[in-house]
Amino acid sequence: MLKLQDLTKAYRTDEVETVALNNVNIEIDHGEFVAIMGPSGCGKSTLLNIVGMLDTPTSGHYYFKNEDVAGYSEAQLGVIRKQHIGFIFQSFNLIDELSVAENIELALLYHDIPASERKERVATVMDKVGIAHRAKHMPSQLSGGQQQRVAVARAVVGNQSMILADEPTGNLDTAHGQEVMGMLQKLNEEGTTIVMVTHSPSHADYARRTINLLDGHVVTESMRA
Amino acid sequence: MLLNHIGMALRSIIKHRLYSTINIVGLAVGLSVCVLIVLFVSHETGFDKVVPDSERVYRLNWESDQTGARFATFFNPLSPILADAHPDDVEMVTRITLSERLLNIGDEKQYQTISFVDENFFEMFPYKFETGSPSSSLINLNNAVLTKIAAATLFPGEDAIGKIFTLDGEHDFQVTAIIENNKSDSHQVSNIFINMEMLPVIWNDPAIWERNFSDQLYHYVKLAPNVSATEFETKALNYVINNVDKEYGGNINIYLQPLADIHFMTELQNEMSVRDTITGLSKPHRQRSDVSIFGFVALLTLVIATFNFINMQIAQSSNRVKEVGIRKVLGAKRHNVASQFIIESTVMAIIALITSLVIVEMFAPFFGSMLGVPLSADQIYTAEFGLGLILTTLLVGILSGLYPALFVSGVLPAKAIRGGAFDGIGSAKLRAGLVVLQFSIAIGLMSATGIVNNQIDFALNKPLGYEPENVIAVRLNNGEARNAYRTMHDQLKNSPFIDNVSAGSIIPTWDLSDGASFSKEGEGPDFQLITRLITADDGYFDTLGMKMVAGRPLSDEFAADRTPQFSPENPHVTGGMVINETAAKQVGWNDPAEAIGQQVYAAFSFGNTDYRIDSTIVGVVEDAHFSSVRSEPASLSFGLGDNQKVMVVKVKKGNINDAIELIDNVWQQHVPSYPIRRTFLKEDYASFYAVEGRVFRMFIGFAGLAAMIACIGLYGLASFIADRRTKEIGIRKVLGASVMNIVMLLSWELSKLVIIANVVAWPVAWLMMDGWLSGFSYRIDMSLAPYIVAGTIAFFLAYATTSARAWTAARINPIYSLKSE
Ligand SMILES: Nc1ncnc2c1ncn2[C@@H]1O[C@H](COP(=O)(O)OP(=O)(O)O)[C@@H](O)[C@H]1O
Ligand SMILES: [Mg+2]
Repeated sequence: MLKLQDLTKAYRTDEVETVALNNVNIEIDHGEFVAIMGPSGCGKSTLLNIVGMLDTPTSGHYYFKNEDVAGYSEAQLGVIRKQHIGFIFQSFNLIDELSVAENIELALLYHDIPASERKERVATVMDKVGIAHRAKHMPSQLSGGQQQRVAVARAVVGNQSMILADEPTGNLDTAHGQEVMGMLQKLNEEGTTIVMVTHSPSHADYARRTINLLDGHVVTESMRA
Repeated sequence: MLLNHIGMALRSIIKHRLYSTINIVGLAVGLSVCVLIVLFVSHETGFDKVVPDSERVYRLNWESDQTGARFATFFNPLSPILADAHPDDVEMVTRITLSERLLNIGDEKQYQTISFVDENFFEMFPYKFETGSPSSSLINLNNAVLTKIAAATLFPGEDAIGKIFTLDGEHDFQVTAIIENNKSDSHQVSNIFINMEMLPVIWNDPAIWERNFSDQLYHYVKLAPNVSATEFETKALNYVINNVDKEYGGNINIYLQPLADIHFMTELQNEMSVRDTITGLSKPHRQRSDVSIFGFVALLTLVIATFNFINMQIAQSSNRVKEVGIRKVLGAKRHNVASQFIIESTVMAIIALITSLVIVEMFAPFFGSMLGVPLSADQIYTAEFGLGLILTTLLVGILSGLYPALFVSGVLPAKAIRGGAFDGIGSAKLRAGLVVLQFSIAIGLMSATGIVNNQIDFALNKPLGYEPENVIAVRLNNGEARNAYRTMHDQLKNSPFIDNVSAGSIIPTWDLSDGASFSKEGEGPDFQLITRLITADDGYFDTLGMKMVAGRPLSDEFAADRTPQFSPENPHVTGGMVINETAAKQVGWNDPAEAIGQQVYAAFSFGNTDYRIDSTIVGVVEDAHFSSVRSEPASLSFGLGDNQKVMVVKVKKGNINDAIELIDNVWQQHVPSYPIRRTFLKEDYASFYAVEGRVFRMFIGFAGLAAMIACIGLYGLASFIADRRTKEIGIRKVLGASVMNIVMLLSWELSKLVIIANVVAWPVAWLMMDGWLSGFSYRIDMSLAPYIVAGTIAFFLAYATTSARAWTAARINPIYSLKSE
């Protein structure tokens, strides 16, 4: 599905240059569930942002479905992103002024999908994550676990083939964390590729493969039996 | 504690520089516009206030019962008679008249306006005497008092005291006193004063004090305290009818015109000149409603600026919920936080005030010169004005700090620190409401401007009924010229450079005369033909380009046309007459042709003689605007006669210079004692309307500024919304929104408020402008166009402003806006 080749990302701020990713080579197949671990500041989010096409590498290649997107413009990346990639964030990032259903629908708004079909798909996906009874609620009325379920629904409602999750359980208590992980696992079983950053070894265990980062390098890759 | 608060306020203002600057600039510009207009309005409404007891000082007016015309002048001998007869009611009377005379100093000849005044003039109108004394300087009939500037003009580089000048080549006067110049807010424009007792001599009119029906002078009367003006008007009228001349009865009304009204009455006949011929400063009479409109614009601008400021403060405050939370955790009480907000916005308002003072200082003279009024910022620093300004500023500051003080200070610290959306209680709605109001006012102002502009254009471009192009007016301002008129006429008429020559007692742009009431044999008192009389020479209509709508013009080819001057020896005269359309309609001759051939007469007695003028109507002429296009055309009648005051010469296009040279030569030849006084009718006409045009162009500028201020606020608001919605923008972008999508989303959100503002503004502006237009006899029909234009301009301004800000916000990479801490 995607292949990073000699990928480097450096940030320049005033005088200092921070190399967030250094010569990273990673390949992820379609349908994989990959966890990324490593200490704070090692470049996990940077990696996820580049994979998610929110950011561009300083050098190296990024093949997405065999297409090198490393040199693409923001607009070009945007087009690929909205078709293929869904995001889940640690802090949910729901829009406070919109209801649950509207938040989910937002992901379809920029896809030229007629309103009736949007409603249908939103309803289906809400059922799937068990949030249908809260469709009219505002995010502030939901618990953290429920909010993250909405975020998951939003990430997949557009039939995205890959979900990128940056510490999706970081703001949740254990029980809700498990719940979200279960949901991701189910999605993965249904064929969605998942790349997830986590600090929790037990949550990393849901993944078939774990990539350990340190100072921008891939140090180990381990496969679950 | 307060100092500490102010210190914190200043730091916070600096920290939020963008908001602070936008906010301060908006308020400062608003305040400046407001102050500039108030300076103008207070200058205009403060006319003649320096005259002691000005509220008891009046100018005597009379009104003709027949025509309804009201005159600024009063009958020559009457005011002293009234004063003597009513010692308990009248404290003082004084008179003045202005007359342009030929003035010689040595060999140098010049026309100057001379003011003939009663000896006590300077008691009623106090001028500071630089040299000489108010009570004695006009005691001798050959004394003269000059203003400083007149002294410097007549006797440059010399001490004018003791110097001599000669009037009309025969009467010497000696300067005995120098007084301060006329104030810009006094209706007086006189610079050279001599004793009124010289009038019989100078005007060669020994009977001037005997003629009860001559109104050549302005009479001022100061009533005793507590005397009612209306009661005295009645008393005076009864007295003059019963004790002076019973002919006043049924013919005139007497009015006391308050001194403060002189500047605001635009409909008086025989009005005193408003132009100071030495300084060139003109103090045109204003329509009171125009001045009120200006005041209203000032108020609206201030409201816009205030709303702006309040809006920005509210917007700002929700960004600071977290800061408030931290303060409260650290032990700040609610009222500490509240007063912090109020002090902060007050400090900002004060900075805006100081900024606006600088702006006003810089622009007051320029603004004044645009309006033709000398304005200076000094007037701000009076107690009243200063206090008003400071109070307004404090009020704005406190009001705008109040909302955040009340609501933001009340948030719970835990919730505040966690951040998230703070919406306050209805703060979004309040903000939206303020934006709508602000833009309603701006749109209202802009559409009003469009309508004002259209109306003024319409009025100025409406057919005048005469053709001022290439017409030169030469004043026949002395006997020599009047006697030479016929000769000059014939000589000029033969020139190839000249199309036509004529003369008249009055030409367009001049004041009209008193009226006469005509009757018709065989018709009852229902027959109404009341006109203002104009004496015209043969060719008058042709020369001025006035078109006949029926019959024929007056002409010497018809022996019966010319009306001889009536006199006690010749009390019954006959002649032809031309009336204008308005006069014909007044009678009920709706088809002008009906008027032709009608016989009418005017009869009156004077002294012991009964006079009668019989006139045959030979033609009806198109209505022409002799006075302002704001007023309806007057009912006029023209007679062929010899009372000529001005010669009019229609010059052939392209021969202007040759023609002028010829006219000057002919004058020189036949009127050697007097320099020529000639003007282009076109220029007279233009200066007639120059002020009107300028005032309203200014109005247009202000409306534009108001709209700009509203946009400044909108930019601030867009910034605020963009900031507050960074996260949302990030999410939307992650979900596939393009930069364009985001820009549209944000811009639309504010622009739709502007659409609502249109809905609010249009009907209100429509009603108000309809009221304003009803003051015009010739008015445009209101169309939607100005509203659509104003609304569209406002919408696009708002859209451009917000998209500019939204563009920046939309460009931000979502990885920064969505970073989880
Ligand atoms: N916009 C940026 N500018 C400069 N340095 C950055 C920026 N974003 C991240 N970094 C740096 O890059 C490194 C990796 O950051 P990040 O990918 O956020 O780490 P992680 O998600 O593993 O905690 C860190 O040293 C961080 O300080
Ligand atoms: Mg991270």
